[in-house]
Order: sequence, then C-alpha cells, then structure tokens
Amino acid sequence: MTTGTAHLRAPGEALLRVEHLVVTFPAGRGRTVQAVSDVSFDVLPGETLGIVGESGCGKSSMGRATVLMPPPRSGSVIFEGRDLTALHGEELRRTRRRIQMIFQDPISSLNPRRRVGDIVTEPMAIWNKGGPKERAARAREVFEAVGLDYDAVAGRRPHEFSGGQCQRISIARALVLDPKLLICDEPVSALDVSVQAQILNLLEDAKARFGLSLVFIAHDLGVVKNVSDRVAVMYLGRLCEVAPAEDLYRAPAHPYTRALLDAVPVPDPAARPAESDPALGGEFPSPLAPPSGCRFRTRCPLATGRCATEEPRLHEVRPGRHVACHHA
Amino acid sequence: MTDQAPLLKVVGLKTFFHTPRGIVRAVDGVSFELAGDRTLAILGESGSGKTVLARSIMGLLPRSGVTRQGSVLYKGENLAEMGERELRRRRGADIAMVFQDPMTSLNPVHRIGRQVGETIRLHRRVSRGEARRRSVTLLRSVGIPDVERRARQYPHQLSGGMRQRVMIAMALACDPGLVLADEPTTALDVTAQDQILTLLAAQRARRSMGLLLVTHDLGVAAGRTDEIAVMYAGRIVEQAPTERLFAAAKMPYTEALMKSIPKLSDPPHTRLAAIPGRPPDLVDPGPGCAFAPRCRYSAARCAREAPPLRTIPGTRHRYACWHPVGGES
Repeated sequence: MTTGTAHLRAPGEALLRVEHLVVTFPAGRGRTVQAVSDVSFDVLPGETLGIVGESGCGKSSMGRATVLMPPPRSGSVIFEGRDLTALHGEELRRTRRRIQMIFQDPISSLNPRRRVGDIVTEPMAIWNKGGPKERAARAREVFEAVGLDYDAVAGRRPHEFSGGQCQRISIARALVLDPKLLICDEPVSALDVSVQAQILNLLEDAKARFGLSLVFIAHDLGVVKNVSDRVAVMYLGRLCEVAPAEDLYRAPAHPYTRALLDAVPVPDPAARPAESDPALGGEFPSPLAPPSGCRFRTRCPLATGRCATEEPRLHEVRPGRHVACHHA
Repeated sequence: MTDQAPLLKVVGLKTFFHTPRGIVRAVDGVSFELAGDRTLAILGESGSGKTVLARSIMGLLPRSGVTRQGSVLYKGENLAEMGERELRRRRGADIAMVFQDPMTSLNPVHRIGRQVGETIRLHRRVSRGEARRRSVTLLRSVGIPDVERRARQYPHQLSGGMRQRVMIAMALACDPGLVLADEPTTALDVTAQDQILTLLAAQRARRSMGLLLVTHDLGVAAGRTDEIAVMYAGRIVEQAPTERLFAAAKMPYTEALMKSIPKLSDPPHTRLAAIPGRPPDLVDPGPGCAFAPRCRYSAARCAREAPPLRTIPGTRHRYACWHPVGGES
C-alpha cells in the first residue's frame, strides 16, 4: 500500500528526496507500530517544507528517519544525489553532517556541563576543520548570525540562558558546519509567544544568509504557514495533502486539512464560533490498528464505502496541488 | 455588573515567594471582578504570574515560604481569611479547578468512574450507587462515548482529550458556581483543544457558571470569552471586553503580543514583529513599568514610575501605561 509519489518533483531538482519511507517501532508483545507508512517527500534547494500534523501522526519520526536516527525500516533518503540508506560508516557520517537538526527543547538539547563556546565549536573539532583561529572566527560568525555576542556568552553554560537564547545556541551549533539542510523539529513550541517570533525571524535570516533549505516540523499551523513555501499535512503516518503554503491555507482540499484549520483558535473575537460544534469530532485511531482504506475515514464527514476499501493516493488536483482523498 | 454583587471579587491580591535569590513578586497587586455567567480570560506568558494568581484564589499555595495579602471574595465571603478546613469544603463544591495536565491530576491507580464518584461523595451525602449513577451521567454529559465501559477504565487507557473531559466532569460534579481552568488545553492537539473549549463554553452557559480561563494563547482567549485581562510581571496591565481589546488595545505589551503572532491570514514569510528581550525577573523588579525595557514607546518616566491601572471613563476598559497606543482617551 502506498499513497504515491505523484507530488515529487524531478529527481535532479531536489536537494532531498525521500521515497517510500517506512518507520516502525516495537510496541511490545511482538507487535510493531508503523509510525510512518510509506511516505515520500522532497525539498528543493532554498525551499522550506513545512510538515504539520497532530501528535502521534509520525512527523517527528519522519524527520529523524531522514537523518537515519534511527534508520528507517525501508525507503530511500536521497540527499545531494546520494542515497543515505545505502551508505555506511565514515561515508555516511561525512554526507550526513550537511544535514543538521534543531530540536524542540532547547535546554535539554545542550550539554549542561559544557561551556557554550565549546558546544558550538566542537562539531568543527570533531571534523578537524581549520585551526583554533579559523574555528574561533567561524564561531564568532555563527554567534553573530543568531544574535549573540560571542565574547559575552562563550564562557557561560546553558543554564545561564533563557529558553529562547538556548534555541539560538542550538541554531548556532547547527550552522557551524555549513549545512545545506536544517531539520527543525518543533523549534519554537517550547518558547513563549513573544520569543517565538524572534526565533522564526532568525531562522528566515539564517536561511537566506547561509543558503539553506529547511524541513520545518510543527503542530502550530500559523507558525508553519509563516516559514513554509510548501506544506505537507500528515495524519496517522500518511500524507493527506501537499501544496504550496498559500494555496493550502486559502483553500484546503483534504477534509482533514480543513478540520485542522477550522480548529485553530484565531486571535480575532469576530471569528469565534459562538455555539458551534467542534471542527472535528472523535479521536485519533490507534496506530497499532489503523483503519482500512483511508486512515481518516473514521472521522471524515465525506467518507463513503469506497474510503473503507480503497486507499486514496496523492493525486494532482490543480498544478502543484496534491491530495490523497477520493472526494476532494 | 455594578448593580449586583460580583461572583468573584479579587482586591489587591499579592503573592510573594521567599527564595534564596530574594522575594519573587509573582502576583503583585491584582484586582478584578467576575460576574456569574461570564468568562474572563487571564492572558499572560510564562512567568507572568497567571497560574500563581489562579492558585492563590483557590488557596492552593505551599505552606511555607509564601506571603499572601489582599482579599478574594466569593459571593461576598473572603476566602483569603478562611481556614484550610473551610476552604476544602468550598473547593470543588463552590469553586472547581481544571488543571493543564490531566494525566498528573488524575489518580493513575483508580478507575475513572470511581474518581468522579469520590468527588461527588466528598461534598454530597449520597450512596455509592447514587454516586456511580451520577458520575455516569456526568461523564456522558462531557461527551465521553461508551460511558459504561470508559468508567471502568484507568486514566492511562484514555487519550489526553478524554482525560481532560474526565477532569471537567470532576470539576462539574458538585455544580460549582465558578470554574478556574488553568491552561486546560495546552497539552492537547488543536482538534482536541477545539473540542474541549467548545465543551467548556457549552457547560458554562448551561449551568450559568463563571469561568476564569487562564491561558498563554491569544487565540484561545479571543474565542468564547467576555473579557480578557492581560498580565505581565505579576500585574494586570490591561483589561477590556474581548472585542474592544482586539479592536483598541491601549497597552503597548498587548499590541506587541498581538503583532508577534504568526497569523493564518498573512502570506508565508511575513516578517514577524518580534518583541525584543524577554520577560523580566520578578525578583527586585525596580520602580518603573516592567515592560519599559522592551517597549517601543518607553520614555524616561516609564523607568522611574510604574503607571497605575486606570479605567477609560464610561467603559470597562482599563490599562496601565504612561504612553498608551493611540494616545490617552
């Protein structure tokens, strides 16, 4: 079973092309749970792909499998023309360092016992890049790019910084090896709203300055729209819809995308649904026993008999617009 | 609201924590009123004092290392002067609370039905059987499907959204006049959040309760509330009817908060108006306006002297600022 690859662009164009990715985890008593079920996506140079979905949809597992942490059960991850899943040892490490990750909890993703300057220069030491002078110069450059003063912060430890500042340090650490692709897994969801905007602006600036592509995984639809060129919506290990950000938000085609957008609390009292019903009823089905056919059908207002027997594939409904639904 | 006594009236509430670093002024002189049958959102970022405010109203504070001043009048009676025994009778029966994390607020080793039934039996003299019948009715009214089976399950067998429904059922068990919901949907996904907010609003209307909704999310505060009080550094810095606050915010912090949020209506890559710096330390806050160091309108007076909370004549809109957005009115 597959939801298809119709939404992928030409292999030569993409910086990253992930095909038929399957991620499984043991679920006890000999069972396995499929967190990601045959998902394909690609990212062009300079593009930001946003991945949205609710918790348990497999978006984080997908992000992590892209850097083979842990490796996917099956599927290929083609980065700069090479399939990472076919590489081993030194060659894998060398290729993979051009992809860096930023995590949700900025404080726990920094070693509390190390000085911030060392945390950021260590990747260069591991890769034997340049001498102490070059490393210090590069560290200065990335600290400046994330809005921190190297001389003031290098000697201090993570606990001396706020969550927002720790996220800046994580971004500096990710940038220091000159990556092409950043995978950001909920990078602002642990931050206060007033700080969140600083980090989102910073990621946009870093992307332009260092020529990066981004995979931006988040549950907050407003945040994803703000940073993304293209958005993929996930539900229970599958893609529902892939579209340019503007189009997806203006006219969601998949019933799940529509429900998600309707459920977002909008900071505008005029938009409030006074006594209305919730946008989406029911509960997430168990990923151990996903529904047959379309996985969203158990909660879908449009579901018919066909949805239970035949899994919809992603197909192009308008140029650049792909939806996995029989009724879209 | 002036012609009848408010359901809840908080006057000059201060809650200070004594820590090795000094005195943390978590709630620093908060006053507001809430009429029965209304919803007031307390909006603030982490560290603004909103959760301590809610706990302080309920008297749920640590036994030592805390000073609390001011009064909390519920239907005219001062909760702040009541002893622990008296307060216990009130909690749950008159004022109920819904917390952020339903997993840690439910007892993991007791079945759902029993926990709801216990809440009823704690405050009402009813038999076990009657308590069980009432808890099943309650669980059904908060939208739990297949109630008879669910009531026999343990908290870990339910999803986050379902657990929060159970918490709401427990809060409603004794028909309280006021519910304090502290970030009730923060641990939930958007679709579950939407379900829970809808449920809270429907129950509030049906039971004519007052609802105090503590949240950091401007979107959550905007929907289904009558008024919003914005907190910053332990104080209310602006309060207005919801529509008015969004149409004509006076306090620069409120304005900045609204502008810093990515909006669904803005095109991708819209530059966000970030608020520089970060929320202040509540130890030794200094004499001036706490927002002044991050404020684009701040002037010399802002650092010297804290602005009082004043009400715009003829309105329910009050704000604390020397240089309000759009000038004095």
